[in-house]
Amino acid sequence: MIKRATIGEKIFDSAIYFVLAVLFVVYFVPLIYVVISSVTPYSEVARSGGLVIIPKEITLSAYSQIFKQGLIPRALGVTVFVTVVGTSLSMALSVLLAYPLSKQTLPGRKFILQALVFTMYFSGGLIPTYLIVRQMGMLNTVWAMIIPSVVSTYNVMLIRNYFQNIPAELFEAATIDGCGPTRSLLSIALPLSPPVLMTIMLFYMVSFWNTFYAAIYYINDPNLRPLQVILRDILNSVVGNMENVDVNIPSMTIQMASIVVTSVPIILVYPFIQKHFTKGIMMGAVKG
Amino acid sequence: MTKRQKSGGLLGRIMEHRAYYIMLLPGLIYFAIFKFAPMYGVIISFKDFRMNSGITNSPFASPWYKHFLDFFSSPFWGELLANTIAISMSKLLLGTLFALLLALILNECRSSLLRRTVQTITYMPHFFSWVVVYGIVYIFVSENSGIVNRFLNELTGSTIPFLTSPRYFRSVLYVSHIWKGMGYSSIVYLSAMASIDMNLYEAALVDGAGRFRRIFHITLPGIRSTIIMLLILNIGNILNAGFDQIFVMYNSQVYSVADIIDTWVYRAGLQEMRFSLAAAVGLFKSVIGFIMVFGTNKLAKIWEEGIW
Amino acid sequence: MNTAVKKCIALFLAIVATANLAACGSDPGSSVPDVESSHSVASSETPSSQAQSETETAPSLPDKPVDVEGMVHISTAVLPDKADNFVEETIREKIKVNLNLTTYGTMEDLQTNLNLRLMSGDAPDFFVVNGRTNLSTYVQEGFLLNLGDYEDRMPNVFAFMGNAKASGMIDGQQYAIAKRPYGFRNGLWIRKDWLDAHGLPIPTTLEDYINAIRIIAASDPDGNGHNDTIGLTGIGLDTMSQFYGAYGVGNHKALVLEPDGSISSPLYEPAFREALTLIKSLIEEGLIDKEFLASNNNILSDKFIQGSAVSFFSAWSALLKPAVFDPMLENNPGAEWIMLDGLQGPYDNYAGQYDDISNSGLYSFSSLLEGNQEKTEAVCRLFDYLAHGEGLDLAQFGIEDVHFTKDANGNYNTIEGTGSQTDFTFIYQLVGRDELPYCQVKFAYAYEEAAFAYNRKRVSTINSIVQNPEWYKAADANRYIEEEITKFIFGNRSLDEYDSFLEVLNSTYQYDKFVQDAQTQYKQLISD
Repeated sequence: MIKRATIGEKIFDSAIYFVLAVLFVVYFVPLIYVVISSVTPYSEVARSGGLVIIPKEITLSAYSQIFKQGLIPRALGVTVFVTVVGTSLSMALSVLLAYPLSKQTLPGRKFILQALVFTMYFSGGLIPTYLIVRQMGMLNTVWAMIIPSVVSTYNVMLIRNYFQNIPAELFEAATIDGCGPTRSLLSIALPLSPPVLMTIMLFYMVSFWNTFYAAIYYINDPNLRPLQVILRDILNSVVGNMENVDVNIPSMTIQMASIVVTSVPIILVYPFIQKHFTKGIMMGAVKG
Repeated sequence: MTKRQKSGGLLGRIMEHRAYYIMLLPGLIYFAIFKFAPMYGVIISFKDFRMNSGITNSPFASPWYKHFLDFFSSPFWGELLANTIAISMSKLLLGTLFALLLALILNECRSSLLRRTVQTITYMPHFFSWVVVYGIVYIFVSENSGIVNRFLNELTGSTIPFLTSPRYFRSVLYVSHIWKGMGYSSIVYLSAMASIDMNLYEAALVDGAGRFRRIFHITLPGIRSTIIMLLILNIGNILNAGFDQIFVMYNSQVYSVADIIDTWVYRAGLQEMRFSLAAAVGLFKSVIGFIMVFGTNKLAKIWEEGIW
Repeated sequence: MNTAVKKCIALFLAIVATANLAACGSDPGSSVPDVESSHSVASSETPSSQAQSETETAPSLPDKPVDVEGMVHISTAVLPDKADNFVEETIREKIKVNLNLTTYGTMEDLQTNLNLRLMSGDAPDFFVVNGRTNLSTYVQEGFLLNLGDYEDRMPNVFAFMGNAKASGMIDGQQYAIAKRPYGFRNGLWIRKDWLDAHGLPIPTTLEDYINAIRIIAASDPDGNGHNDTIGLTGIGLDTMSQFYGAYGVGNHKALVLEPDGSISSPLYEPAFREALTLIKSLIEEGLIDKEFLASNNNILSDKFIQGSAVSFFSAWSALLKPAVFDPMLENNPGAEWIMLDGLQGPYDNYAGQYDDISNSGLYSFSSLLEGNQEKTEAVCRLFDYLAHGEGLDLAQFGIEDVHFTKDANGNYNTIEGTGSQTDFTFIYQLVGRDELPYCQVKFAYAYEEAAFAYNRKRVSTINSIVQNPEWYKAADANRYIEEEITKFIFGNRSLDEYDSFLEVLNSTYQYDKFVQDAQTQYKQLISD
């Protein structure tokens, strides 16, 4: 019986490893294509049909083309500010929304939820939103890239869902011990929620990091443009072939380099988030 | 008498929960200002919008459904709607399935190095633009030089027109969608799995439950509420089939299977500043989407609780 | 519990307060915030009366540079830092205009933002308008200044526009400065060294051309042991332009200006159907890339660099720029490409089609300028400066003796090593440039081809001046045309059904009526 189980386990594990190995290849090949293409002379990339494994020659011209733009350091600063401040605000507001809404007993809960979900599908459109942003004096400020999209209903729903799955006995016990809602949130709900909080934080970070349209709509000042906008301009400056024939770097190389530039920081963050996806966060929680 | 008691009860319950309402306040103010206040904008769909007059002063369209008619009088509207629903639903189901499978496999993987590596590289394509993904797709499935077709040619002597045939084009859309989004979407399931009480697994182990049984009896039930909630929320996007992807990838040979509502609106409305048309189609999509969310939520409540 | 309350409120107040603070106190050192500048336009009480009277009496320059905001799309360059921007510096010094450009990477982004600003009364002083349909909408909404009233302030601009001028007119009035077009650039390219290797002459007839690509493609010219060389490739249905030209017609979307001044669509010509028959047979034979419709710029330049086709349909600028041409040469040593002239076919030898009254950008002035004479003068001064002499030189080549020199015959020479510094000046070519002399200096390596391409015989079209009438559903009609033409040439629909295609086109999509409408529009435009 036990022996059969271990054979089964072994087969199961091998199957898992096999699938992961396949996935590794399916993902690794295109990814390496992106990275290699960004540092390989384009003649070589094109010659080998796009799949260079080990480039004969390395060139960083695409990266120097990107970083020679005087606006890049500033844009990076803007993006980092928007990401850090935006994510903090978003997290605070989202948790404050999600926690009360996870309480089944809250009067009006259903109505509020319906209203929030309603906004996921209905929007008044860009024009009235723009007018409000303008009225609040946020045009041409970094806040226009943060406040109008500071809470995502989707993310609130995910946090709320997680809070709801926390065993109710824990909160009941706390209430008996005299904990108010705030204490319960801070000392029970949040400490048990790193997986979801980290996930949502990642989602917010990624969306703020990729800020693009808000900048197009609300920002005219070149000094306040975020990284993605500047990179797209740089990309356009080499893609266009009608007017300026002078630029010497193939557009594909720049495109790949800008993917690397924008995704590396956010990918570096990922392991720190991953750390919290460990099993057992709830272990023993019920006993306590 | 009983009535007064009841209302007093409600008031009492509200007072009891006042701290919660205060917590809700900042978020609700955000929603009021940035989500609900602009909602009056939907009336653009019923007006002949004039930029100079603004939303409120523009004259109403006559008949009021004029701009809706613009869409429904297009000879293509039936096909557009069918394509949109087919593509979005397939993407939703396949996307969810693959993200879930990936999360399960990663969750079951015992080598932390392998798990983390695969988790990271599957997450990366989320940051690629569709233009770049199309470039990669072309390298693989182009009929002239694509790796897959070169292989097929050696094997069978014939090639498959993945990018130009209505028969295969959607499969290209689905595979590239799954490839790009699977890793990112699986994060949410992984985080839900992390919250499952380990005691349950230990108890199952004592009972001699195998890996499959643990998956089906503990892991999946443990994240069921997340799966259902995401399905319900995503079904509201039934009329959003992924503009960015299709706009980059389609061509006149595959219009019949790939042209969707959003690409049509782009060509018909936005390029010529037909704000009202774009708003009318948007409203139509919203209404259908919200009805779907409402409906599936009702359905979900039959076996389990829904999202509200 | 109380602390929670306080925290929440404090948080919210903090958000609001910082938002407002930041809005009020935006960086004073940076460029002029346009909110402010537009306020001064709207209220029209801020500009000093002193400057105003000065400009009224004499067209001399004001003492202080006047702020002007322009909104342009720059798909091809990134503006340098303010400090390195010698163009704006020169403009400030010479004509006392403090130019601030708000730039967008694409026309769509610009249009979105421009609309928002027009609607909220914050329009920039001048801006790019995305096509004539939008231009006429803006005119109806009263957002634009009638430039005809300012012709005397910008004589050089009006002189410079040339043929393009008409495309900036609505109902006989000049509402936009039409930037000169870049000229005719598309055409068929063929590998000359491969022709030579087979002892073939440069094709001048359609038959020779087809023969040449057939022979070369079949001979495994790249010697890789596979029969994988494509005959002809390009991007989209335009690839077929020169085939149509050989049959004396334009392509499927063309609105052709006939010699007698009438407008017609090639779709109704029997010759067009014959051309489709030919194209269909070429696709069947495998001479034309199976995936030319699924192609894009990146894919095309990849194919060019790989040397995977005998012939390309493309603009010279897409193939000859060093970023594409040099890698191509590295992979295909000895490769020689030449652009073909029109190929003599059964009916004619047009080298494609071209819109001779098109423009490469429409620039309009905001009607908010009305009543602010100082600023209006400044904008006019700016455009006029850039339309002749020193200003035009500045926008084309930079500063004399720093970036270029002029010899006694008026020929320009760039000063070596300064090329990359003047990349961005292109953005300031607000009224366009002298195309061929410009190419001669800036793109010397491609000048011959550019000049050759520029002057080829072509079908003349008028698409760029036509606005879609409200009853005409352009998106549906275009899709129908494109889709059916695709079916015809790929053999998915028999060409015997061509007549029923036309019938549906006329009855369901009212295309015949649209062509008539285009004719009316054209007649009106030239009579104005």
